Formats: sequence, C-alpha cells, structure tokens
Amino acid sequence: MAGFPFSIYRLDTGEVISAGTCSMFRDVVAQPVAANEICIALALDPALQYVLDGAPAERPALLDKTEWTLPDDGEAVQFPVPENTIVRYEGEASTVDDGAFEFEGDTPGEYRFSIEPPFPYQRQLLRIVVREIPSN
Amino acid sequence: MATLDESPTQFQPLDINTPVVDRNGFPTPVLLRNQQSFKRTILAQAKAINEATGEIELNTARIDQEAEVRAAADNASAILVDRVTAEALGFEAAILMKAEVGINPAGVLARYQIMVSLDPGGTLVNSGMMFDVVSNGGGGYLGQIILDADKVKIGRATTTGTFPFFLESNVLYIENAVIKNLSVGTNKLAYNAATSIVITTPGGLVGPGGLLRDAAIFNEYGAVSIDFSSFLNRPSAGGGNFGYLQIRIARNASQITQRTLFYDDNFAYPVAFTHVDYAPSGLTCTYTATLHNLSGDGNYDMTDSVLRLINFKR
Repeated sequence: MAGFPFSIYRLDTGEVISAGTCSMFRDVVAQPVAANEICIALALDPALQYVLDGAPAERPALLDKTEWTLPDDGEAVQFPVPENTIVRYEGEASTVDDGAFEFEGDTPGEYRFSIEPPFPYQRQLLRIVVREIPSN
Repeated sequence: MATLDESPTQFQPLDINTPVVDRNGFPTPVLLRNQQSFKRTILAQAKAINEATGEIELNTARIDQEAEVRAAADNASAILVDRVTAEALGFEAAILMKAEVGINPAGVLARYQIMVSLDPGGTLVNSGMMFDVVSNGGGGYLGQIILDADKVKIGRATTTGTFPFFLESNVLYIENAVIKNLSVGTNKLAYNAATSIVITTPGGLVGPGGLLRDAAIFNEYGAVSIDFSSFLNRPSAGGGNFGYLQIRIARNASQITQRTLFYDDNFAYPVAFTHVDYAPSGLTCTYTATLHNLSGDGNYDMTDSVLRLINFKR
C-alpha cells in the first residue's frame, strides 16, 4: 500500500514496538504512543531494525552461520548465546540458561530452530541437516 | 418572401467515364444518370443524383451521390448523401456518408453520419459515427457525438500494443487512467469504498496478558473493519498446559469484540478474524488486540501479529 509509513519505538531502548503504513497522514499522527515512546514517519522493520542514538540501525545478528550440515560441518553445532535466549523447536519454547546452544544429532533429518536472543539481537532461524552416513 | 434564382442550377455528373470491367476484362453494364431539377414556386429547390451501377448476374455494385438543396420563406435545408453498396451471394454491404443542415425559425439542425453496414442475410450489422446538433425547438440536444458500434477502441493500432480504452459488449475497459476527482455512483463500490487504511507490520512476541498489536485510524464516516491475524506458537509441554485463551479487541479502551480459542501443547496454528465496528463518525479510534488466558497453565505466546484497519463508507 502506497501511503505514509510510521514507526513507534521506545526512547530508552530504541526497540521498534510497532510499525506500519497509513493511507492518510492524519492517521500517522494519531497512532497510540506511551509516555516513553515516540512515533516517527519512517518505515522501520521491527524484526531487523531499531533506533540507536536517534538514528535507525540494524539489529545485530547473533549467528553468522545459520545453515549447518552434520557431520560435514563438525560433530555438533555449538555456539554461545546470551542468557535468557529462547529457543523454539517445532513451536515449543525453551530458555537457555547455561549460555550456550548445543545440538548433537545422529538421527538423519532436518531440524529447524528459532533462536530468539534478548533485544536488540534479531530473531534468527537455524537449520541443521543431519546427513545419513553410509555404513561400511 | 423567398428570393428565387431563375437560372437552373448545374450539377456535373460523376466522373465515371473509365470503363468498368469484370475480372475477365469484359465491360460491365453501367447505368449513368444525372438529374437536375428546378421548380419556380414559393419553394426554390434543386436536386442532383449521380448514380453508377455495375451488374453481373445477381451481383451488383453501386455508387449513389445525391445532393439536394431547398429554400423557402421560412426554411432552408441542404442534404448530401454518398452511398456505396455491393450485393453478392446474398450479402449486402454499404457505406453511407450523409450530411444535413437545416435552418428554420425554430432553430437549427446540423447532422453528419458515417455508417458502414453489412447484411449477411437477415441480420444487419452496422458501425458508424453520428454528429448531431438539433434545434432547441426540436426538443433535442445541442451537440452530440454517437459512436454506434459493438466495440470501440482508442489507442495506437500496432500489432503488439494494447488499447487503453476499450468498449466491448457494453462493458468499458480502461487499461490505464489518470482520473482527477473520481465519483463512483453505483453501490458496487460506493458502499464499500475505503476512505483510509492503516496496516501494521508483523511483530510482537506476546504471552497472556500482553498487547498483541494496536493502531489508530480516523473514522471519517461509516464503519471500521478490523482485520487481525497472528500465530499461536506451540505451547510449552505440560500436562496441564491446555485450555482456552481469548483475543480481545478494544476501541479506545472499551472492548468491542473477542474471540475464544482452544490451545494445547500438541499443536500450533494461525489465527485470523475480522470484525466491523460502526464507530462514531469524526472520531479517531485506537484499536488494541490483547491476549488473555482463560484456563489452563497458559504457557504459550503469539507472534507476528498484524492489525489492519480500514475505514469503509458504510
């Protein structure tokens, strides 16, 4: 929809809590904001962006590598994550409290995880394929 | 009193001295007639008819040209008709070009007509253009252009180009249009025309008791359609983690509707519903969608919630 974009972010963290588009500018200035929030006429993607020092910035990505194949890439997938990172697998959530994500799998198949670190990190999808090893 | 000219008006016959031959080169019968008339009465009138006809068996080709002028004390008129016709194999095709002007005390009459027609045996098909300026005393229109056709195309006639304006079977198609101040008068659109729209991006990871999405729209007149969509993640595993949850929609902090859903740690599913709110006109409405747990452990959350608000005419 062509129109007037808006983004609402928290002044204390820069987190974009809402964004969208209005067909009329009068609705941009009518968007609900709380005392610690501000609405700007700019299109920001809450999943990928936040406001840092008053300017749009990219939310950091925790993972450089989001596609793994075992055992080609190693015996296991392991990397550090911030405390209280939420990991979802097939929709079920668990909270990481030991500072690391670990996956060791010997059952062939494809495994998809949603890695949700605390703000300002992005939510990322992790795909791990366990390849079947031919028996000798 | 009319002024009469006693010298006969001279009309030259059509120049059709070139012999007409058929496909085998044999001359065809040609009828050529030139007629002039003049009557000295209270009416001054002159008429000329040029006619060329070629006939072989049942096939006929004919060109008629008529010119007629009339003048009277209270009227004047002039008519010019060109007609080209051909008949063969039961088909009759014709091209008619006609002009007509008239002046009388009641007003004016000026017409022109270009018409092509084909009668393939019982069903007349014609296409043409008519211009009209009818007298104000005749009860008609002052100025009019009529395109009489089953199809009308406007555009550059190329093999690959499209016609941006296209009329077919009484349906008008417009490929591209820049319209200033559009007024749509039928209830096909007018009743459901959107005045303004507000759409949020997907976002939020919200548990029970949280705000899923909120947005505001100015309700100029009519109704506001609230379209909400979200995704219920698979709840955490637990023997008691099943029950009912509720999504509540509020306008300016007053609940206007809700949807009750069942959750279970065995499945996840998308959620989408629409509600139409007949909010007061001239009011900015802030709509909120919130998630509430009604029973069970309530260990679940929803994500990627989108709120779409559309202000309809009614």
